[in-house]
Amino acid sequence: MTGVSDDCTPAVVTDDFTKRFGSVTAVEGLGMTVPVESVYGLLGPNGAGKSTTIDALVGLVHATEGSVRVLGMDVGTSPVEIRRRTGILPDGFTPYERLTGREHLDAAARANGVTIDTDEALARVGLADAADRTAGGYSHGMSQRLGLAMALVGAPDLIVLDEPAAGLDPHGVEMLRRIVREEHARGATVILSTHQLAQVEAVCDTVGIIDDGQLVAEDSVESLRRTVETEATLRVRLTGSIDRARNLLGELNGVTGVAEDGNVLIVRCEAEQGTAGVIAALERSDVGLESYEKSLPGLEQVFGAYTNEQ
Amino acid sequence: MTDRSSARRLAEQVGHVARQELLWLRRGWTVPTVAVLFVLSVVSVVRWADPPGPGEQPLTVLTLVPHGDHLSSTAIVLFTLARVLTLLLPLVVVVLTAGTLAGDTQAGRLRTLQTFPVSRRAVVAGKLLARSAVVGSVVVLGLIAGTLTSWFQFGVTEPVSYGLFLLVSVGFTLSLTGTTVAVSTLVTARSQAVALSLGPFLVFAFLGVDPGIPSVLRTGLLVQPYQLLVAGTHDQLVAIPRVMASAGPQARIGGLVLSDGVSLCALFAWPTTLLVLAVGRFCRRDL
Repeated sequence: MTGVSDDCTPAVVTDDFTKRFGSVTAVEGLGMTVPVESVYGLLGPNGAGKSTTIDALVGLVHATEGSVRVLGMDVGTSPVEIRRRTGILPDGFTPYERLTGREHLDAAARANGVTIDTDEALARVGLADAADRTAGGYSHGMSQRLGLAMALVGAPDLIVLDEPAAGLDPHGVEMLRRIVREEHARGATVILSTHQLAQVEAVCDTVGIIDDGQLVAEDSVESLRRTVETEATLRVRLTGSIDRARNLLGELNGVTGVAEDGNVLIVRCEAEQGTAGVIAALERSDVGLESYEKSLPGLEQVFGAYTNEQ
Repeated sequence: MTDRSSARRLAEQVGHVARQELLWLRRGWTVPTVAVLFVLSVVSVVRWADPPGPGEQPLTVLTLVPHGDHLSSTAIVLFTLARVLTLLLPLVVVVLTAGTLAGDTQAGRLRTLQTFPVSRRAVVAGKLLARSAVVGSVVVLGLIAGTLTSWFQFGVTEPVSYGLFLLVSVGFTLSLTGTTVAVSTLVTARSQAVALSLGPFLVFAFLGVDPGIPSVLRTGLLVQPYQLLVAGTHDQLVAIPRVMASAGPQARIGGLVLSDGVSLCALFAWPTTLLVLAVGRFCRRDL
């Protein structure tokens, strides 16, 4: 792939991007920045504007206002050059039902001006056995796999995947995560649009949360977790008396609840910072701290906090 | 230099889209079915043609021949074919091309195609190229079958006349293909493309046989290029539909009429204008 942008240029920058369909505003004033060589998760509830944003990145829809720059180029003026360097799995990917999986990949390779080993490319997404079957006979999950294989043709600099896990079985989901990690390791930037938080949590290093057409948060997963004031939970194993520990922790500031689960003590703290005080208090006491496990707020809670949807 | 490389890139993209489209068409049943039906129709029409015996003139063509000149078997065959193809070719074209972009849009395949690095202009041009090649091949195949039938049936065929007729037929077909692909580019459902492509043609075909309609409409909107060759004169060109309707004696056509050259220009001006408009709109459309 030829480089147009330098290393410092973000892979994607949208500036005040607005898209209206008639009287409906799908996206309003979106300012999104996708760092180069990152795995960016675009999260949002159904109808939030994720797919519209993704479509705008590759020129399938046009901005009503604002600008969209991808790999240093304006989508309005260089959509073909952008797509030459971008692998795309659009939402609701529809294959040509009369063509085989192999023919789909051949077409993608020809369009990109590259030569590929179609057997290897199809085997990578688990379609080796269906290579010469027409795509009309593929299941939804197989079509998604085919779309993913097409998006990977030519080792693109940017890979845009819109709801890639839709229709995939657990093996497919695992395959998807593996491929995203491999492409990231190769140096590609990956944008993953989904409402499946587990996908994002498993592979993304940066997250943008979009709600009601607006970007409400954009940061690393860890940073977003810290911004959300939600409880942290400790699962503590003791060698000494559990009752003694319960009494001790019940009086501690920042602890909102203590419960027993067999021989494990579950301690809920107001925030992550409160867990350090709990560990210190147990270590200072005579209850005998054997081990502990900390559960931080999940992306689900972060998502809920930013989108007001629990 | 840049212009040349841009043109080369565009040509490559058009070629890619055309190849993909041809592969898609080759895998379906529509093209072979239409081709077989068209060949059978042409063969039937030629067999149905009634060339005059020595010293005879067929009734339907009598009024078109100014001085009662003798008509050859080829002229009768071509005249008979022309009458049928005027209606048959639009049907063939609409069946084979109405879904060019509208069908793909409806099915979602256009989004898939647009994930490739090809411009929207290249998409329309490539699809138009592929569909024109397919429709043109079907027409050529049918008319060659017609030539062979005519040769077996009547023992003689004038190759130059038949060749010119074939060329004009292909030209007419390409004109109709351009118009239908343009309509298919403008709409988002195949049924809309069929209605909007076939509807106006049928309306104009109906108007074309009404002597009360100004002749400029009949020649400018309903251009029937066959009669340019068969009848030879412009008056006869516009008179033919009326002969078909009434089988009565030819009336002189007065008022404003388009010359043969302008009629032919109009034939290609329609699809060209529509295609320019359609591509411009398609480039601005959200997929």
